Amino acid sequence: MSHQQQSFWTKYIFSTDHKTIGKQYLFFGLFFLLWGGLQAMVIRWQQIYIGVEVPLVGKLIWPDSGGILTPDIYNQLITMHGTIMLFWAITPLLTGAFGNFVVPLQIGARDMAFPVLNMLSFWVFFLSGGVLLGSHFLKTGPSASGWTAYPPLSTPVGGIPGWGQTMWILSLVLMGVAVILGAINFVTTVIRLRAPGMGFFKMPLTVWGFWLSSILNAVFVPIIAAGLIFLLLDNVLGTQFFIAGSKATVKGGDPLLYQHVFWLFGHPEVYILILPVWGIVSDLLATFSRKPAFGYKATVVSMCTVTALSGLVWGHHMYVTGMSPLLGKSFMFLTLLISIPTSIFFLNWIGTMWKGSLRFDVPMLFTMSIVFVFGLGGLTGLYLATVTSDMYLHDSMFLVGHFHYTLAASVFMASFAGIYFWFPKMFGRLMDPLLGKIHFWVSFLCLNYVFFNMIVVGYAGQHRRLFDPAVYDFIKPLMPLNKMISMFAFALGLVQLLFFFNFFRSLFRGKKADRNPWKAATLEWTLDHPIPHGNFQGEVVVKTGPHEYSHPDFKGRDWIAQTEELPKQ
Amino acid sequence: MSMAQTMDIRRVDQLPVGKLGIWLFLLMDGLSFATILIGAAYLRANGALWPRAGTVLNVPLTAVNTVVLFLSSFTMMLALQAVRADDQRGFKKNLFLTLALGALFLGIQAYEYTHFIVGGEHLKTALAAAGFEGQHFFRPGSSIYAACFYGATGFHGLHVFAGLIFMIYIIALALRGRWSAAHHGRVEVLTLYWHFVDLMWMFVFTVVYLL
Repeated sequence: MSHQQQSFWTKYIFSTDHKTIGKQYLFFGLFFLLWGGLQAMVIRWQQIYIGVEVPLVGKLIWPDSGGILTPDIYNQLITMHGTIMLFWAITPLLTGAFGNFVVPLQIGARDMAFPVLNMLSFWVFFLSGGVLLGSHFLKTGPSASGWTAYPPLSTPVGGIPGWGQTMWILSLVLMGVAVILGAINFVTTVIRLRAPGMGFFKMPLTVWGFWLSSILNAVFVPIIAAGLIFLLLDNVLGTQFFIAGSKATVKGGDPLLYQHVFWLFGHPEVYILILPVWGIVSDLLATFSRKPAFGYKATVVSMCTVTALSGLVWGHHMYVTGMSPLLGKSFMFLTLLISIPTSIFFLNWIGTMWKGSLRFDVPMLFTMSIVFVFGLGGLTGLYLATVTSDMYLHDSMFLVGHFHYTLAASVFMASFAGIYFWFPKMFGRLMDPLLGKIHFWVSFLCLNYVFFNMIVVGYAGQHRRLFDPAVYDFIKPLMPLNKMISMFAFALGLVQLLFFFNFFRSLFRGKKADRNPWKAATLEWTLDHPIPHGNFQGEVVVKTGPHEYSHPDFKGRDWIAQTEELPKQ
Repeated sequence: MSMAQTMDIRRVDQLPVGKLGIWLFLLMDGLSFATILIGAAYLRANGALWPRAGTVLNVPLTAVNTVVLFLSSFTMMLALQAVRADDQRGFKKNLFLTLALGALFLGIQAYEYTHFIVGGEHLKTALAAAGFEGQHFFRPGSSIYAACFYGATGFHGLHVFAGLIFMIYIIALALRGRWSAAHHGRVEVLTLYWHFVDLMWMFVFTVVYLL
């Protein structure tokens, strides 16, 4: 491909450059983050002001009900909040934006292995987002069967009218196609396009994270795609794969089959989303502690172990479906087994920071907070993985709190860490550190208040997805706490506007960044902004590992780029 | 962008990136097929009425169809060998044969679908003998057995269809003399895909028609 003479369209819109595609994903993901976040605000509003008109936007969006949420609208909101955040906000922000932008740079490649496929993948993703957004404009509203879309709710016998569910399935199938194309690209790129000298154990842990995550995508997205096609047939062709009981006209359909297929994908999906986070955290902790990552190989092996185990634990989502106790115990054992490799790299994170020269730049603050919030998320996971305690906690707010600690808190803190960290490489400017620190502290305090107290009300027995929690007498005493959760959630939402302000202001007015503002050692920081299409001029030869910080025999500066030789002993 | 252009930005050691990519894709696609067929087996074990082989589905006709698809895999292989030997005439001839056989396969499948969807006295008798008393049609909603039949063969048929589109694209470029012994990466990709679709049919045929 010629890297010169490009029109506006091929340079910014239908670009095959992984860096441009990464930025496209970034804006796409931020848009959906905002959308899903607003939905969360409305959900929290409903939890405390039941039957009160939603301020500002209520009458505009739901004129039929006078801006008041009905149970149907509430169900649509929780469905869309979950779906959008998982598949159209987290996925493009991590794998889409950072995966595309960072992985080829960090392994010394000139682009992804299949640049055209990469572009195609983004545009299929874009289309899928369009289909999902389009479903909001249906007269009957979007899907309302929860982000898990369990049958029979998600089938014609479930009583949810209209095309919302069908469009939900279509958009997810399209998203699956985009993710599959992306996975082929990432796996191939990392296997084939590493620069000379970039052995697997010299790769930054970020690359490991994205690579393992792509392998999981490659294995498990085709499975859910097949399951969704069956669900689609149930919706449009009148088959009854997932329909049983009195509504079924033919014998043999089974909603549990859907749950098995969904969670066979669904559980690895959370690792698909969190593996890049682990990688980014491991790298950023080393960079900002000015120390090599502690136990690099142990971290890699642990991440690989989790990847392998992730496909064997889906049953822990289904303890209450009447599963055989023996099977439940097996799933419990395998799930708890995951805490061993997780603890290993968790300990390595602390080891990396131990006695380091910590620099509390904004990306580091976010990264350190992940160590905390992911720890809480992981620990609460143990209660849900244990059959006996899950019987009580299943489908309670405890689960919602746990899930938001692992995915919302950890993943979004990592997305922000990544944005603050790579912003200078992407756009050549630094984001404002003071605004960044305010954004961090308010977000950190608020999200901990919100999600920790979700765990508390869940432990006290509040069920998830309740339209009006106060209809239950035993939840009434929890309503003041629910109210406080909502207040802190609103504050959490508001402070994100500060982030968006900082982001867009810094795009144009931010302080110009030099080549390596964080004094990091990985390959992307050896390039000046703007990085040309094709990235590296001449051949890149990698000579050292990704975290050579504070080498005792290297004088002058405290980092050694991966292209430099280690000093002789 | 063509394969050659993809190669420019490849790393120095010149490994076939395209082949790795298509193998990964086939692995993933295989998992989709596996999910569908294991799902069908699950529903069968769950108590769906599953008639004896050959009572509803036309096994002899489909056996012929299986041979048609196998033959197309064979001609595809001949096409690849021809292009490797730079035999343009043999290459094009075998590509057209493969296209025709693939289209014939889809045609026979469409005939079978039509027969089931339109229905008739003959079908009604067969269905009654298979345990579906009083049913006139064999449509997706008629039974779990039918749903699995349409799900699995439809998913496979879509793959054949996509392969034919890909093949038409390869043929269009072949007519312009695009492929040579030195340069036919995408022909290899098509060949791998086509053999894969053939392989998957073996499983679909076994699980849906024979077992």
